[in-house]
Amino acid sequence: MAKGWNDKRPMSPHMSVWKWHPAMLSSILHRGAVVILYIALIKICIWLALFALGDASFEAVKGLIYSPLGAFAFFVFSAALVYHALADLRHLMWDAGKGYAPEKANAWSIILLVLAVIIATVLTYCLVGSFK
Amino acid sequence: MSTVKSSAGHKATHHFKTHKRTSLILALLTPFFLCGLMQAIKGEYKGFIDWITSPLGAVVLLAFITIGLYQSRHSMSEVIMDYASSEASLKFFLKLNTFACFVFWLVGVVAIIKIWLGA
Repeated sequence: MAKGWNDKRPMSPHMSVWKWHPAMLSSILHRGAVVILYIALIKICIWLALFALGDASFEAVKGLIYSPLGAFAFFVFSAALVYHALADLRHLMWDAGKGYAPEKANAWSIILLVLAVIIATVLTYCLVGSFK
Repeated sequence: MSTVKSSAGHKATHHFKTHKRTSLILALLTPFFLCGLMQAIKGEYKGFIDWITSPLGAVVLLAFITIGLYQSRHSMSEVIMDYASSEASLKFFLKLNTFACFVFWLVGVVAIIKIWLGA
């Protein structure tokens, strides 16, 4: 427990005491996707404000958008967005009482992760290929 | 038998239902948003302006940042509740989270309206 921790609420066991399995990885990645999307949404709002200021403001960030770092950022953002959407849809299935069996939950965790990476890779490839 | 309404329970149910509804809307918006964003990036500055000033683009973008930031606030609140080490830091970060989401939402919406009006 962290030094100075004075929260008296009951805590769930630390992840180091769990045996790793795909559904656990899926849960951690879902939370990671939330944090990435939070930062990305703030960045989108800042960029919208820059675009509203005019062409000159766009030129200032243009180099970053069309750089390899920009393409990587688009890949991470699109992967997080697609994974978050797919994981949320799976949560709706779970709410309906379907897909709870450990084998199914683990298999779907892998499928969703692979799907998100494939979709993000294809989107990034198409985007970078379209640059002038 | 009379029923007793629990404020905490009521809030948690509302939080759960809202989260589910916004999740579904965000999942439906995702393909529209990504397609629009990719088209906009291809067209450089003019592409972004065309996207934001088109009716579909503006509605998708407004809905995406509104629902996205609303849901992000909810999700980040859960993260803060899990990791805040004290009552004081919990309250501080929850308020900061709400404030940041509202401010950036306002910045985004005002920017979209300005681009729309200036087009």
